[in-house]
Amino acid sequence: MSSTVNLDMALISTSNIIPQDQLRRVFEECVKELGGVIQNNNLFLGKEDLGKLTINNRIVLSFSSDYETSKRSEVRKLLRDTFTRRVAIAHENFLYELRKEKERLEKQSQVEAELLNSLKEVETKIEKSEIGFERQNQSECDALRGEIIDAAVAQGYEVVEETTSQGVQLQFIRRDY
Amino acid sequence: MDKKINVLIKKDKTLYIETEDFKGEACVSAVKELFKAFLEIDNLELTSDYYDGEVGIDSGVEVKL
Repeated sequence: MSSTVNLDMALISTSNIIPQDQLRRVFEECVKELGGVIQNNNLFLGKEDLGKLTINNRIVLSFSSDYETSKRSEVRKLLRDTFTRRVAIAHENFLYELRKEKERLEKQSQVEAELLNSLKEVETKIEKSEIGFERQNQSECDALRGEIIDAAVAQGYEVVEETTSQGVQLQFIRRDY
Repeated sequence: MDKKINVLIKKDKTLYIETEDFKGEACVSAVKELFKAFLEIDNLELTSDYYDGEVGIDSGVEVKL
């Protein structure tokens, strides 16, 4: 057994143009402009029941089977054109608010990034100061070893260290790849 | 070829520096670069090895910080 369903739908509003509550309000104004009314989610123009509305983030009208087929094309154009004209302003306002919010968040993230950088700088200073003071309390030879190794590592050298009878032998290697 | 700078920190705090596998004066530049944060090396006391060949153990330098 198989079954088929014939659905005649009018997509009055595509999704996500504006928030759902605003979409409903704009559509209600649109219906009012056309002299219609919405009752129990059914759209009436004049006294005719056009069909059932589904309003979520988009608006779809599912034509009632009783509604004359010949009128459907004209009425769907009328609904869509009227709604499109009315939603344009709400859409502009919505974009304006979103862009303002975006700008605010970008500024905030910039401030946060700057704060994070400052925090990292302070942390690095703390770390370096601690290492410096620790070295200051070592023998001059050990302190020098630490300082030279730091300088070499910062310049991209690998370090091999060995203590010999003559002193501390350091080998700094720069790899050629 | 990998380039090497050997630094011996002697017990009297003197540094003896040798470079390996640098070409020509690159060894002098590398040593100056490595120690630029510590001191300005104006003239290096180069050992005779420096003048012997272009590649190999190039130079020995004594530095007293």
